[in-house]
Amino acid sequence: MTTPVAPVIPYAAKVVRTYLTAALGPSVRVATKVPAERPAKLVMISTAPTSGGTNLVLSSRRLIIQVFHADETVAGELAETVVAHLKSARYVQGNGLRNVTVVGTPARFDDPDDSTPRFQMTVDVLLRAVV
Amino acid sequence: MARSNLKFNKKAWDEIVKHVIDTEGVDRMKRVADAANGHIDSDGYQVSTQGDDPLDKRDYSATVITADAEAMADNAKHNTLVQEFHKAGGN
Repeated sequence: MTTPVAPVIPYAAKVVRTYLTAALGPSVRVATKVPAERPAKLVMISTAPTSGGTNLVLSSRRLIIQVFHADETVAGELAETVVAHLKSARYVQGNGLRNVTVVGTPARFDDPDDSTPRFQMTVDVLLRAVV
Repeated sequence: MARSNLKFNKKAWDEIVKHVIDTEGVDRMKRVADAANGHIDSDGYQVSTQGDDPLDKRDYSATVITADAEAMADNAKHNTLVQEFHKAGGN
Protein backbone atom coordinates (compact mmCIF):
# COMPACT_ATOMS: atom_id res chain seq x y z
CA MET A 1 0.00 0.00 0.00
CA THR A 2 1.38 3.41 -0.96
CA THR A 3 1.27 6.38 1.40
CA PRO A 4 -1.52 8.83 0.47
CA VAL A 5 -0.53 12.37 -0.53
CA ALA A 6 -3.13 13.91 1.77
CA PRO A 7 -2.61 13.49 5.52
CA VAL A 8 -4.74 10.84 7.19
CA ILE A 9 -7.50 11.80 9.65
CA PRO A 10 -7.68 9.53 12.73
CA TYR A 11 -10.70 7.21 13.02
CA ALA A 12 -13.19 9.42 14.84
CA ALA A 13 -15.11 6.65 16.61
CA LYS A 14 -11.90 5.30 18.13
CA VAL A 15 -10.77 8.77 19.26
CA VAL A 16 -14.11 9.46 20.95
CA ARG A 17 -14.34 5.98 22.44
CA THR A 18 -10.93 6.40 24.08
CA TYR A 19 -11.88 9.84 25.41
CA LEU A 20 -15.29 8.81 26.76
CA THR A 21 -13.97 5.58 28.30
CA ALA A 22 -11.52 7.60 30.38
CA ALA A 23 -14.08 10.32 31.18
CA LEU A 24 -16.99 8.05 32.17
CA GLY A 25 -15.07 5.47 34.19
CA PRO A 26 -15.37 1.70 34.49
CA SER A 27 -19.12 1.56 35.23
CA VAL A 28 -19.95 2.58 31.67
CA ARG A 29 -19.10 0.50 28.61
CA VAL A 30 -18.21 2.57 25.56
CA ALA A 31 -18.26 0.58 22.32
CA THR A 32 -18.50 0.89 18.56
CA LYS A 33 -20.82 -2.11 18.22
CA VAL A 34 -23.37 -3.73 20.50
CA PRO A 35 -21.58 -6.33 22.67
CA ALA A 36 -22.93 -9.90 22.65
CA GLU A 37 -24.00 -9.44 26.27
CA ARG A 38 -25.19 -5.88 26.79
CA PRO A 39 -23.87 -4.20 29.94
CA ALA A 40 -26.17 -2.15 32.20
CA LYS A 41 -24.80 1.17 30.95
CA LEU A 42 -23.83 1.23 27.31
CA VAL A 43 -22.64 4.08 25.10
CA MET A 44 -22.54 3.16 21.42
CA ILE A 45 -20.64 5.19 18.83
CA SER A 46 -21.26 4.91 15.10
CA THR A 47 -20.29 7.04 12.12
CA ALA A 48 -22.37 8.93 9.56
CA PRO A 49 -21.22 10.73 6.41
CA THR A 50 -20.76 14.49 6.29
CA SER A 51 -18.90 16.85 3.97
CA GLY A 52 -15.89 17.13 6.28
CA GLY A 53 -14.86 20.48 4.82
CA THR A 54 -12.03 21.28 2.41
CA ASN A 55 -9.17 21.70 4.89
CA LEU A 56 -6.56 18.97 4.40
CA VAL A 57 -5.31 19.06 7.98
CA LEU A 58 -8.44 19.72 10.04
CA SER A 59 -11.56 17.80 9.11
CA SER A 60 -14.87 17.06 10.80
CA ARG A 61 -16.51 13.68 11.14
CA ARG A 62 -20.13 13.03 12.14
CA LEU A 63 -20.91 10.57 14.91
CA ILE A 64 -24.18 9.14 16.18
CA ILE A 65 -23.93 8.37 19.88
CA GLN A 66 -26.55 6.18 21.52
CA VAL A 67 -26.96 5.56 25.24
CA PHE A 68 -28.78 2.52 26.64
CA HIS A 69 -30.03 1.72 30.12
CA ALA A 70 -33.07 -0.17 31.40
CA ASP A 71 -34.15 2.90 33.41
CA GLU A 72 -35.19 5.86 31.26
CA THR A 73 -33.98 8.45 33.77
CA VAL A 74 -30.57 6.83 34.15
CA ALA A 75 -30.21 6.60 30.38
CA GLY A 76 -31.25 10.23 29.92
CA GLU A 77 -28.88 11.48 32.59
CA LEU A 78 -26.02 9.42 31.20
CA ALA A 79 -26.71 10.86 27.75
CA GLU A 80 -26.52 14.39 29.18
CA THR A 81 -23.26 13.48 30.93
CA VAL A 82 -21.85 12.21 27.65
CA VAL A 83 -22.74 15.38 25.78
CA ALA A 84 -21.26 17.50 28.60
CA HIS A 85 -17.97 15.58 28.33
CA LEU A 86 -18.00 16.04 24.56
CA LYS A 87 -18.56 19.78 24.88
CA SER A 88 -15.62 19.91 27.34
CA ALA A 89 -13.36 17.86 25.07
CA ARG A 90 -11.76 20.79 23.27
CA TYR A 91 -10.36 22.03 26.59
CA VAL A 92 -8.79 18.68 27.49
CA GLN A 93 -5.31 18.41 26.00
CA GLY A 94 -4.11 15.28 24.29
CA ASN A 95 -7.46 13.66 23.46
CA GLY A 96 -7.23 14.43 19.72
CA LEU A 97 -10.54 16.34 19.65
CA ARG A 98 -10.04 19.90 18.39
CA ASN A 99 -13.70 20.83 18.60
CA VAL A 100 -17.09 19.21 19.08
CA THR A 101 -20.31 20.61 17.63
CA VAL A 102 -23.55 19.18 18.94
CA VAL A 103 -25.76 18.77 15.87
CA GLY A 104 -28.57 16.99 17.69
CA THR A 105 -28.93 17.12 21.45
CA PRO A 106 -29.78 13.96 23.42
CA ALA A 107 -33.34 12.76 22.96
CA ARG A 108 -35.12 9.46 23.49
CA PHE A 109 -35.13 7.55 20.24
CA ASP A 110 -35.92 3.90 20.89
CA ASP A 111 -35.00 1.03 18.63
CA PRO A 112 -38.39 -0.35 17.44
CA ASP A 113 -37.18 -3.92 18.06
CA ASP A 114 -35.78 -3.30 21.54
CA SER A 115 -37.65 -2.36 24.71
CA THR A 116 -34.57 -0.85 26.41
CA PRO A 117 -34.73 2.97 26.51
CA ARG A 118 -32.28 4.52 24.07
CA PHE A 119 -31.15 8.14 23.93
CA GLN A 120 -29.39 9.49 20.89
CA MET A 121 -27.31 12.51 20.01
CA THR A 122 -25.48 13.56 16.84
CA VAL A 123 -22.15 15.37 17.04
CA ASP A 124 -19.52 16.63 14.62
CA VAL A 125 -15.95 16.23 15.87
CA LEU A 126 -13.05 18.19 14.41
CA LEU A 127 -9.89 16.15 14.09
CA ARG A 128 -6.35 16.94 13.05
CA ALA A 129 -4.59 14.76 10.50
CA VAL A 130 -1.75 12.57 11.66
CA VAL A 131 1.49 13.46 9.89
CA MET B 1 -30.11 63.42 15.04
CA ALA B 2 -32.16 62.93 11.89
CA ARG B 3 -34.69 60.13 12.01
CA SER B 4 -34.25 57.35 9.50
CA ASN B 5 -36.93 56.98 6.86
CA LEU B 6 -35.86 53.42 6.13
CA LYS B 7 -38.84 51.07 6.00
CA PHE B 8 -38.50 47.32 6.01
CA ASN B 9 -40.77 45.59 3.51
CA LYS B 10 -41.65 42.53 5.57
CA LYS B 11 -43.95 41.07 2.93
CA ALA B 12 -41.29 41.26 0.21
CA TRP B 13 -38.69 39.78 2.57
CA ASP B 14 -41.01 36.85 3.31
CA GLU B 15 -41.39 36.28 -0.43
CA ILE B 16 -37.61 36.20 -0.89
CA VAL B 17 -37.16 33.72 1.98
CA LYS B 18 -39.90 31.47 0.61
CA HIS B 19 -38.44 31.66 -2.90
CA VAL B 20 -34.98 30.63 -1.67
CA ILE B 21 -36.37 27.71 0.34
CA ASP B 22 -38.71 26.60 -2.45
CA THR B 23 -36.02 26.72 -5.15
CA GLU B 24 -32.90 25.71 -3.20
CA GLY B 25 -33.94 24.04 0.05
CA VAL B 26 -36.60 21.80 -1.44
CA ASP B 27 -34.19 20.44 -4.07
CA ARG B 28 -31.65 19.63 -1.39
CA MET B 29 -34.18 17.88 0.81
CA LYS B 30 -35.53 16.01 -2.24
CA ARG B 31 -32.08 14.47 -2.68
CA VAL B 32 -32.14 13.33 0.97
CA ALA B 33 -35.69 11.95 0.66
CA ASP B 34 -34.90 10.10 -2.59
CA ALA B 35 -31.81 8.50 -1.04
CA ALA B 36 -33.73 7.55 2.11
CA ASN B 37 -36.59 6.05 0.06
CA GLY B 38 -34.00 3.79 -1.54
CA HIS B 39 -33.86 1.95 1.80
CA ILE B 40 -37.58 1.11 1.90
CA ASP B 41 -40.33 -0.15 -0.40
CA SER B 42 -42.62 2.87 -0.01
CA ASP B 43 -42.09 6.60 -0.62
CA GLY B 44 -42.47 7.21 3.10
CA TYR B 45 -39.74 9.83 3.28
CA GLN B 46 -41.28 13.03 1.94
CA VAL B 47 -40.24 16.65 1.59
CA SER B 48 -42.25 19.21 3.49
CA THR B 49 -42.08 22.99 3.78
CA GLN B 50 -43.46 24.87 6.71
CA GLY B 51 -43.68 28.36 8.17
CA ASP B 52 -46.11 30.82 9.67
CA ASP B 53 -48.00 33.41 7.62
CA PRO B 54 -46.61 36.03 7.94
CA LEU B 55 -43.26 34.43 8.66
CA ASP B 56 -41.63 34.69 12.04
CA LYS B 57 -37.90 35.23 11.94
CA ARG B 58 -36.22 32.37 10.04
CA ASP B 59 -39.16 30.03 10.54
CA TYR B 60 -39.71 28.92 6.94
CA SER B 61 -37.91 25.67 6.25
CA ALA B 62 -37.77 22.59 4.06
CA THR B 63 -37.56 19.27 5.86
CA VAL B 64 -37.74 15.56 5.18
CA ILE B 65 -40.44 13.83 7.20
CA THR B 66 -41.24 10.18 7.85
CA ALA B 67 -44.78 10.04 6.47
CA ASP B 68 -45.61 6.36 6.95
CA ALA B 69 -44.96 3.56 9.42
CA GLU B 70 -42.30 1.92 7.24
CA ALA B 71 -40.23 5.09 7.04
CA MET B 72 -40.62 5.73 10.79
CA ALA B 73 -39.46 2.21 11.65
CA ASP B 74 -36.62 2.33 9.13
CA ASN B 75 -35.36 5.65 10.45
CA ALA B 76 -35.57 4.53 14.08
CA LYS B 77 -33.73 1.30 13.27
CA HIS B 78 -31.07 2.58 10.89
CA ASN B 79 -30.83 6.35 11.43
CA THR B 80 -31.48 6.73 7.74
CA LEU B 81 -32.08 10.48 7.76
CA VAL B 82 -28.79 11.23 9.56
CA GLN B 83 -26.96 8.77 7.31
CA GLU B 84 -28.31 10.38 4.12
CA PHE B 85 -28.38 14.02 5.23
CA HIS B 86 -25.01 14.77 3.63
CA LYS B 87 -26.72 14.49 0.24
CA ALA B 88 -28.29 17.88 0.97
CA GLY B 89 -24.90 19.52 0.59
CA GLY B 90 -23.05 20.60 -2.54
CA ASN B 91 -24.52 21.36 -5.96
